[in-house]
Amino acid sequence: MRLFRLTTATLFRRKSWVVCAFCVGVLPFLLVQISSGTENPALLKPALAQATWAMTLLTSIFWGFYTAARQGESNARSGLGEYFLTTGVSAGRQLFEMWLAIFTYLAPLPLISAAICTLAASPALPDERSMWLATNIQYAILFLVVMAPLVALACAVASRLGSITGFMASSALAIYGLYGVGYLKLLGDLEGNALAKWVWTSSPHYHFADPTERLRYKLGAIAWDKFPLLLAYFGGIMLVYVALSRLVFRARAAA
Amino acid sequence: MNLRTLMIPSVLAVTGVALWSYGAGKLSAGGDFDFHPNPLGLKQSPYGQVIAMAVQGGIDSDWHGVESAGKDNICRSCGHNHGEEQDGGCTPAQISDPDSLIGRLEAAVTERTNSRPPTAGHKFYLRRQVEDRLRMAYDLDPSNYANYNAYQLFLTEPAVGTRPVLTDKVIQLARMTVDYCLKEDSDPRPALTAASATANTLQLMFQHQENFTLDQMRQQMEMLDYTLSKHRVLTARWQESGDMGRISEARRLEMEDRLSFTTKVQEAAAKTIERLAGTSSHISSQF
Repeated sequence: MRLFRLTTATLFRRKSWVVCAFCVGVLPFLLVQISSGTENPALLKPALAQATWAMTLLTSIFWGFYTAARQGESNARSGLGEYFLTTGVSAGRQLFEMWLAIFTYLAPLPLISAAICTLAASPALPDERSMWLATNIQYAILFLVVMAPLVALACAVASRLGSITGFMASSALAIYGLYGVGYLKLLGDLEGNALAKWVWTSSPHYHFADPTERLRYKLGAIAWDKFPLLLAYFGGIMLVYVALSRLVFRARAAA
Repeated sequence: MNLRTLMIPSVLAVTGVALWSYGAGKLSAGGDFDFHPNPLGLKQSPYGQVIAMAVQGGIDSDWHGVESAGKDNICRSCGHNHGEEQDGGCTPAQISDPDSLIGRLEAAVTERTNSRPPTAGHKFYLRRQVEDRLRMAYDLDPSNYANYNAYQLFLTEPAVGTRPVLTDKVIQLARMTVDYCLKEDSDPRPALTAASATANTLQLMFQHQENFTLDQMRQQMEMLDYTLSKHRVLTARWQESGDMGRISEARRLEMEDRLSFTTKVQEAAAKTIERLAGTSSHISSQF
């Protein structure tokens, strides 16, 4: 696990994780001051919950994917990957270790959001509060299952095509899955076109992992008997991305 | 590439595709795939409400650019064409310190040097811009009084709107607004927007009397009474708790203005229904 330790230490030294921690843990408390919660105190808690989850999403996309892409590119270009290959660490293993290092920094973000929602923005009624906790935990899990393979994909694509392409690939997929599929349905005539409908159905529907609506309307936790279906869906997408990442990733730059 | 490096990703991919298709099939069959995208949850959120208010500034300037009539009434202060009213209706952007460097630069870049009034096509384009922005502002915060009413005006008034819609669509919009606004149990202002939406529905019913019964109008009248009383109750609660102090004086006055206007509309609507009940062939003795 030498590459894991090296990447973790590098990221720690680079200190940009402090910005992420600030954005997710502190900024939501400042952002509520520019929401209409200042006029209507009943909106302060919803504004806080919304801001912390939105920040987790934005930092994961901008920091998480960018960092992954940067590490993937520098591993291949700097000769580090080649060095590790000669010491017997395979390309797949290198991808895994780098991914794990970035994931170590990314995983706490949804947990911080869930904690802020539970501790500072919980509903007053006890039964709603337990639902609120369950909803937050469910979304923290879904969030991680969605983001984890995209981090690996950014790293792998960047190792072959450069960091900008790697970053763009994962961010575009994430944004498309979160919002693009919805607009595609609204703008396009899906019923009249079998191909468009197929593209739409087989797109990654990441909006299922976006908790904002569910938290805002206090819809309660996702029914536990339906939760495995969502895990299977995102698990399937994860496996496809893992396979794709493994095929695309390379530890040394092309000659 | 050896066989092992190819085998593992292939097995993962096949399993993944199977799970993905299974999940997608189940979820799309249940109708879960249909959703209205809401980036970062901004629409109808506490942040959306603030953005919706900020958008109104841009709407103002676009609307100001549309104002024009005639050929010889170019306003001296803003360069726009205000028609017969001349400079009376002009509210040009105020430059805070016109003698400073920044003030002079601002004056230089915002001054209108084109003396020709906008063409009909250009005006239509600007009106459409305003309409789109109003739709966005309404989506961000349907409970905002100004956003709802301005958007409603665009939909119903052919002289300003660019996409006239049928009356039932406008009534549907009003109903959606009422439903949304009545969910608010703390801020008194959305109840006022609901009252205004109900008054608009009544107005449309009066204009198209042949399509609506007196009972339908009375139902709307009851809704108008209910929304206004809800507004008064919530206002009293805010005054008691001191939360009213959180909103600025200007907003409070705005709220009072709107309340007195809606109350007048309520009185007029009650009289109209009375008159209609008197003249209608299916008179109900309830009035």
